[in-house]
Amino acid sequence: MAKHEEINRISGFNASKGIVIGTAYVRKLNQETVVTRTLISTDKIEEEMAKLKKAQDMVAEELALVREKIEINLGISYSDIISAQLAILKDQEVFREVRAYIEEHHVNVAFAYRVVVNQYVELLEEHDSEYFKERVSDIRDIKQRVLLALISKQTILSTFTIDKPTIFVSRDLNPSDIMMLVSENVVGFITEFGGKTSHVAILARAMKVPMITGAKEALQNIESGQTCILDADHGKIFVQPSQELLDEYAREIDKLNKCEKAFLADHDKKAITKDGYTFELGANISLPFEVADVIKYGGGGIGLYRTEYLYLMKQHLPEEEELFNEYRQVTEGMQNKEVVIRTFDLGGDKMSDLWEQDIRFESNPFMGYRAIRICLDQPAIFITQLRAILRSSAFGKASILLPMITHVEQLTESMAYIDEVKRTLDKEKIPYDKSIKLGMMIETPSAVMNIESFIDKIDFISIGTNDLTQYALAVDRGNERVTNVYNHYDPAIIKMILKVVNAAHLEGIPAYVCGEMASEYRALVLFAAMKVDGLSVAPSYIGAVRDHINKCDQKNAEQHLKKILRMSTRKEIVNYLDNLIDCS
Amino acid sequence: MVSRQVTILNKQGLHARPATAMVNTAAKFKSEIFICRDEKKVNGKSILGLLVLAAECGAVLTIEAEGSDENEAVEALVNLVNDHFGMGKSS
Repeated sequence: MAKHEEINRISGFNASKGIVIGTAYVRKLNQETVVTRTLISTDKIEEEMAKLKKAQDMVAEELALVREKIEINLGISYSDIISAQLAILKDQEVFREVRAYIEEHHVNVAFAYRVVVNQYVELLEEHDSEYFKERVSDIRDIKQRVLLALISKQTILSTFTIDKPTIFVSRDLNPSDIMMLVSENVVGFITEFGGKTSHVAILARAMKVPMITGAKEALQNIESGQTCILDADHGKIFVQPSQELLDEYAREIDKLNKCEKAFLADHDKKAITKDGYTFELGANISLPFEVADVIKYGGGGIGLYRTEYLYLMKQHLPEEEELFNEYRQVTEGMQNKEVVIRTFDLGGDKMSDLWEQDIRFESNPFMGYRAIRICLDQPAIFITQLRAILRSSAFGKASILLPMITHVEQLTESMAYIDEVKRTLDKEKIPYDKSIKLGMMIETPSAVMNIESFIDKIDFISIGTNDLTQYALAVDRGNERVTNVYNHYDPAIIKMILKVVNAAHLEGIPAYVCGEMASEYRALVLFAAMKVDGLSVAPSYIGAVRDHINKCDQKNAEQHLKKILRMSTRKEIVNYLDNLIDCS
Repeated sequence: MVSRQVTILNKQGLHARPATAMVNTAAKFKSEIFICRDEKKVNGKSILGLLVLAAECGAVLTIEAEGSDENEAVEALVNLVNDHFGMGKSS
């Protein structure tokens, strides 16, 4: 790589995989529309106020358009957030104060509007409550839109006519930005802030748009109009790359596209090894519209439907009907293929705005108020989810998956709630699948060590390798200083997985793997050897994983596992597995 | 003028969604509506005003209305607050 490229390289986290080349559009930090102060005569007040009214109407129209686009494209109800923004936009007190300000100071309406809204922003910023502070960004957003409409008679969307593939660079993004921009020829996102598991990242992944987050100094180093390569797979951005590098990446993208086409063409191929061992190959999804992708890539079902998303996006606790409508879209859409719906896994790094702040800012969130612990502490929230899942089971084939179970009491208590909900539904004569299956996530060392006490009560297990690795190795995978400690090829992790898979098989129930490891080629040998029943991966990985499975030999894998189990270091194991890949 | 005291019951307080509900309800009435908390008094038809109150769960507010439909207005707003802004008791 040329030296030039080293200088123009920015690094960040891979929040949504993929590689794209595009022209940058940079939304600068706190970039304020320039507002000049001009004096106006008293008889012009009505004229000025009419301008404000017109600007507000333009923005209202734009917001309505955003809402419509989101609802049509994604089938998500987004009215909540937009309603609040509309209320801010049309605030009559602001309108009154702007008029009073103009009357007193004889200034133009844009200037007066900025002064009035900034006063509110300052008042809100004074609050101790994080929640109210966060609303400030909504107000600033509206202010920017109105000022832009007032001064340049444009809306944000209209200033942004995209005729070529664009990479959008900003400090941060909100979900409506992403959804709006993706329908406007934006092919990639770069943000300075935001983590891999933020709801914006979930959305970008669901929409298959590459995204790099945590790209520090991106705003300083990228300018609008510059050509960029966004290589999210490696967390790298190249600004104004050389022709040589562009060509290299163009070839890489071409290769990926060809692979993708081949995978799509093979969508009805079986996930079977060379010697005839068949895996159930399912998909992990977060949003109903991903069902289309699962079908396109030939997924055998949904191995993990993460339901946190609704809680992360909404400004209120979703009601049963909202959940039911989402779940039903998935069970119906999958046409009687299995859909494993996991009750929410909030907590850890995915904390909803909905909880009070002492909960949202725990000192040790991964050990704290999370997933099933929240559900059993607030049964009303749990019951709402269970009712929605059970009701959706009447429209396809659903099963229930419980996350973060550490001890048996949690499982039996959860089962009592499920029974209670079933009885109520019976009484209300609401249909559901009476033979609905129940599974639990295996993601804590205690669940592994005590596996025998769990499996006689459930119908399947699903191993979440990300959390299992994190808890077994006592390592926060989000902490950059200790990322070298995190490794799911540690002998301890492999032995844990083997233990639970064997226990499940002894009991006669299937064992699935749904963590990141499920999509890694080198892990496949291990899963084939253990006769793991199914793997669940992101929809776009289905083709690649199926291809890996087709190349694998189950009997040989067993021999490899025997050797691996005698190894004592992760380095030996990784080397051994990498070597196998090289041979194939 | 009619005035009544209410306590915010929502766990998350008077945040964007309930404030929006309150403004939309208030806007249905002709009367002037004010919401007071301690020394602060804001226009009940202004979402920014309501947010500035930063009324958390347990905060006591006074709802005032003056006009031809003042009784109905206060009644509707008190019911809205007591009903957790229609967001369910667990919210």
